[in-house]
Amino acid sequence: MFTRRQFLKIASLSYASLAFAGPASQNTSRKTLILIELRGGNDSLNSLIPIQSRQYRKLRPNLAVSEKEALGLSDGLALHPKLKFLRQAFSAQKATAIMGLGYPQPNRSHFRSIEIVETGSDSQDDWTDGWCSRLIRAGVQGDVADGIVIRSPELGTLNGSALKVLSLRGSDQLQKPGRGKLREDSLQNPALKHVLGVQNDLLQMSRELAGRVKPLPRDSFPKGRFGEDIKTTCEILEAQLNIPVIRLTLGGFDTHTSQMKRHERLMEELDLGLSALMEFLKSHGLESKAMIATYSEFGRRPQENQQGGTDHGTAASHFLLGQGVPPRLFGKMPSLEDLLEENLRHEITWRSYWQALAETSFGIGTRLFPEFEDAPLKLI
Amino acid sequence: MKFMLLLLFSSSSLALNFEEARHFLHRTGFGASLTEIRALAGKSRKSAVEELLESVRTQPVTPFPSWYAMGYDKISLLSSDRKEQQKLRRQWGMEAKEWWAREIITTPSPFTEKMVLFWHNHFTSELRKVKWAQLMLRQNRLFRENATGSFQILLDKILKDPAMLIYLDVHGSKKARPNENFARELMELFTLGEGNYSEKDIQELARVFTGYRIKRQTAEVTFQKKQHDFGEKSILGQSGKFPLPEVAPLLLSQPSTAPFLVSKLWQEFIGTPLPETELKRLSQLLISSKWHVAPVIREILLHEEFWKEENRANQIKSPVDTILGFLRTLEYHPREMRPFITGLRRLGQDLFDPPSVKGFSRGNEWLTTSSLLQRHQMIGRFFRGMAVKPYVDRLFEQAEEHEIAELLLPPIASSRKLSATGETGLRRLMYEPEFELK
Repeated sequence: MFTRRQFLKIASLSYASLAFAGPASQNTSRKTLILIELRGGNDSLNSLIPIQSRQYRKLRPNLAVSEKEALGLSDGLALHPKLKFLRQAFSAQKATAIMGLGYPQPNRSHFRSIEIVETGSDSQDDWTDGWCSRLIRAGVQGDVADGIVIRSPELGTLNGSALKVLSLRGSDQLQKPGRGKLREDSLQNPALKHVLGVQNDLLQMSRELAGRVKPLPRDSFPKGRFGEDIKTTCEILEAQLNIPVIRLTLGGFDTHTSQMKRHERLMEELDLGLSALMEFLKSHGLESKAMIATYSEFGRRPQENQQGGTDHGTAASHFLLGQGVPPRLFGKMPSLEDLLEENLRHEITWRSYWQALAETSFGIGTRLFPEFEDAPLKLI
Repeated sequence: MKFMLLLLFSSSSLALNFEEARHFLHRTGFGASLTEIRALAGKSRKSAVEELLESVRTQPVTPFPSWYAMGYDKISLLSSDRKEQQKLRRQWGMEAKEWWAREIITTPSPFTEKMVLFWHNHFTSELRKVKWAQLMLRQNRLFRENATGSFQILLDKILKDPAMLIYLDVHGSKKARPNENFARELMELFTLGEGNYSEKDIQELARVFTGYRIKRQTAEVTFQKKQHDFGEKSILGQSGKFPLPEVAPLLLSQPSTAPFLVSKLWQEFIGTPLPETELKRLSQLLISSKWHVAPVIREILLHEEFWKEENRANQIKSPVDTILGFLRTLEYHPREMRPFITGLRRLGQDLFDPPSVKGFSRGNEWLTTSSLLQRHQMIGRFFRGMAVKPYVDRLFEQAEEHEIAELLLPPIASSRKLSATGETGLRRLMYEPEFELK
């Protein structure tokens, strides 16, 4: 819940902090955590590939990436050929992977599984607040907003009434309420007045932000929606507002059919976006100010299907990028021999990963999920 | 007088147009499908209202979940492990919610569900406290059987309803220390309204609700003589022992009770301020019809205020309107109800689990910056899968483009045009501010 009055208070507070203290006074160790949702369930076995596994080739007679093309890493692992920038980032110690992320009793519905992942709940729980809402209790708060969701209409990890969240280009309608088209007498309608008032509050928040971010040239970012969203992210980062979390979405990963080409395009799109983002951070001296992490509702089934695609799976590997990322991989590549109902067994819970990300990005010591006893994961 | 009658007669016998039929359905049910609107348009107000009142059902069309009739002692036959039993109870809770949501979208009488929800919101109980989904369903059935019937009978039955007695702590209340929770809410929220009783009245009334227990095995209400206060009480200016059957008549004899209920019904269906003279007239009608609510609802629905153009679409949709009403509008019966139950909870209307004894939010409270974002999220989710596509396609086969805009949005948006066909066009309409109105 976020009323107009609260908003105004927050707005004036943040003005004050800008005027008297400026962004430099902010906790300098605090970074912005950029979460990238790979929507639809990324095929992580073809992203971070157990390239020397015979079982991998056996399960994927058509979809296996060839060893010649894959970009080799250590320990029998390799990256998808299109993840060129990511491969360099691994060498430069600016990227790593966390393997076997998942949760017990996996649910294979997109809808349910993303909820479980984003809230950090157990499989049978029915939570709605995203894990980021727990950051408030750990003292991590923003000025204009605690988090910004770019484009996606879903707040996901930033869901929760305690959070001040701005959805930027969340829906075209929020940006353009199109009031001009309404009939004059309709403003007599108190309910419609209320709706428009709420819309305006949201608009005002975005304007507040818009007033402080400088637009960047479109052509210095990759083409397409994701490139556009990376540009928006960079604009926010450049303004150096205190915004703990930014959430982006790259969609299209539900590759049940003709996966080869589609996944290749997605890997390329992701890689170009990450490259643009990291290059921007580097050239603007902001490398120490951000961490980037990918996530998905689930991975895909090891065994390819009859339509040249893969079906909904369970555990998956994900990437973490940022300055000072340790030069080793985390977790363990789940065994392709020892499957559970044809799917990978998880090694690390999402909760542990969220906790580790919060520690790394915000320097918190508080446990975000005190009600659970997950094995801790130390990233740095 | 003759002229007035004539006027009344003429307006209630006028044939309903598309807009009016849509308005009537949105206010008396949840959403409105093209089929429903087309079936209603052309009829007179009077026959629309009469048919509506006659449509009321006492039995649901959706079969109760299999565990509904199962005794509580039987849960130990399913599992002896306490944790397992707990898990099972939680699952039943979810199934109860799914059951009701399904009934709301499939019933031929959405008005019945509107009234059942009205009573659930009036005589609130929360599953999270009651814990036994069976009892919530039993209460739901009670509302169903008395949806537009006598408030006196419903009140009398709610005084012995196991879910209610657990929810408001009558269960276990003893003579030595009567629990005041139920007595207070009974007067404040269920009958008299705030300010029409004293703290002393609460204490005295609480003495009546002592000695009742819910039997764990059978969920029967039992009476423990030893724990009951048989003494003289003085409640609302009257003295007596007040055995249970005398409580409802006592509360209904108070002058504020009929206006309290009438105002609530008026708010539900119309929402504009209720003129004092009308309040008096309708309250008298409620009393003279032996507390049957149907005659009052009839008057409200035939009232000029209900039909006035400026009073249409002047309410914010509740989450049930937004989500389940939209499913009804599309005539879409999803296989899985669970995502929609989660949606309802996210938007703040978790069926069987209102946030407090005061019930769910109302009016403008439904819409805040975060809930508006949530509503837009729901639209995104809704179209995420492919399951809905055939229903959207069917709609476009059934109707002209302008009709689809008129179906989705109230007439204040009549200048809006579909800027695209199919899913995209539909979706854009749903982001319009007017989509939040009913």
